[in-house]
Amino acid sequence: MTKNLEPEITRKSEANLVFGALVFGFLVLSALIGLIWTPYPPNAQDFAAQLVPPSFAHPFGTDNFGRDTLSRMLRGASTSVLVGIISVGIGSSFGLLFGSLAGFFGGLLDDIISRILDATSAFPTILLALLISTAFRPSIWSAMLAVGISSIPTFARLTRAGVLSVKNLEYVDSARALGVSNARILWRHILPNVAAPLLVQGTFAFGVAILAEAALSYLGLGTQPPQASWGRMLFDAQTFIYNSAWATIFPGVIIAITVLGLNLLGDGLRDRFDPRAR
Amino acid sequence: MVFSALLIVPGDPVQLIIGLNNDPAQYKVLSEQLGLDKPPLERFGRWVVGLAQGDFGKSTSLSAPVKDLILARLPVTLPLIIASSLLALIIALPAGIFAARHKGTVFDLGTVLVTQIGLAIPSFWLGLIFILVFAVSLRWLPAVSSSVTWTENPIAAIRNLVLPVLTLALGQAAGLVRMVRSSVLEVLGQDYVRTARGKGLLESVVINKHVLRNAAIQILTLLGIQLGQLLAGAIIVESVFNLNGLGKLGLSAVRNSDFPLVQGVVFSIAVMIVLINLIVDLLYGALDPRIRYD
Repeated sequence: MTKNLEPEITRKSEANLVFGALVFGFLVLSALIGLIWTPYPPNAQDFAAQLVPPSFAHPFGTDNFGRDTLSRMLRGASTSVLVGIISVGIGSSFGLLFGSLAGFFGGLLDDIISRILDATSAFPTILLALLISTAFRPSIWSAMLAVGISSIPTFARLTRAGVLSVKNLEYVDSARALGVSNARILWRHILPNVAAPLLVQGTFAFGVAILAEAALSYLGLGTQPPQASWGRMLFDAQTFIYNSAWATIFPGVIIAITVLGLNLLGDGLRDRFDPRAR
Repeated sequence: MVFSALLIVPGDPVQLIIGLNNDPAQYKVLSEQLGLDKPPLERFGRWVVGLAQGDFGKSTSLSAPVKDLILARLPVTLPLIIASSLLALIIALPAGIFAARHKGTVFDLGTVLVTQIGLAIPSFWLGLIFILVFAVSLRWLPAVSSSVTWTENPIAAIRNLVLPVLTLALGQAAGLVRMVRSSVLEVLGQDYVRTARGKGLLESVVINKHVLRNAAIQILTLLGIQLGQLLAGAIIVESVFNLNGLGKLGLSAVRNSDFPLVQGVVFSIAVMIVLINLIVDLLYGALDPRIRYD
């Protein structure tokens, strides 16, 4: 029975990979288009066309300021991709740094770093965002900082585990015997082994970052008006939920599909590159 | 190990707060207020001493003691969280166990797909959709909560909570189902389960006495983590449904740069998370006699 299941699992993970990659490609494409060209200027207000239902001129309708929803969603895609890149960048670079220090040198340094990571991971992103936005004003940058910091522990733990699993292997010993420096051993001989799990985690973290930015912007702790962000659009739409339901539907569906796509892409990548983790 | 993790967790908000006190912009805004011209470490020390004496400081925007403000909001936030976690468990346990027992069937694949979608849906959007369906279209429940207290009008207070609890619980259940499913699957693959089946025990006995008891530890750990997330999720859901809970208090404090209040709210949520972890750790001992605390 187990044998019969195998091909099915592979097929499923291939499907995940394809669907996820398509969604991700579509997201990046929308983000690029959103930067270069939108049907209407995303922040242009048109008080003659407030809360217009979906039509030929405005495929997704307009909001309470008469701004074109499709244009704002395209520009919102750029915001989401920016947030994803910066947050994952913060999380993975610091995670890689702390994780390799803890794993490679071990001992007291490992203990200290690991305990700090434990504490950080127990601390919810939103609380961190509350604190950071009180200290600096709420902005897309404070949101990205909070989301990025929250994702450091996972990256660091993965790196640490990867470093620990290979640092005592013969080929590392031989590199050391040849007189190769610690930094070079880490970079050339150890860290390439961590690349696959980090890539998978990066995909998941991208989705988490998009979801978190939407939530923070919805709460007013992220992207500030008039800039377009999917979460902020939902906040604006809530006030008019009685007379224009579509404004609430579109951004939410897009967030859900994007995050679903990234999660499936992560699953698919994990099945392909990191079979041990299954 | 568990003990050291517990010791460290309360240290975290503290570190963050030191960092915040050092911020020059915040320093300028608040420096005219009492005691803030002191060096950060001394202020931090005073704050900790105050906390130890049950003094959270005074809110700068609402000019009331932070402790009173927080205590006043707990009757909203605590029922929300408790009810949501119970509902999430009621949904997730049977669904997860059933999916694991029927691995590979249509039901299992369906469950996995639904939870995958559930994980991707933002909780505030789910809340908005519920408002759209139950409040705007069907008109069964209020879209925006009225400010009633439990003593004034318990029925209205419960009606206020239905949609928020549903929103929060479904989001949590999605993650929980997956975890229950995978931990049950793991135990089902163990040798002692095969032995139990081999000696002819009823499947229900195998599940209840052998599988669930062993999966319970993992599920409990995950539940502890989830409760922490639930506290954070409550901040979002409270603001979707305009519930006057702890989360909304914290958000308005941020908007008003009310520093002591933000500190107080973040600190009390952090304390609750630590307490939950402590309870989870103590429950380990009850669930598994092999775990002892000396």
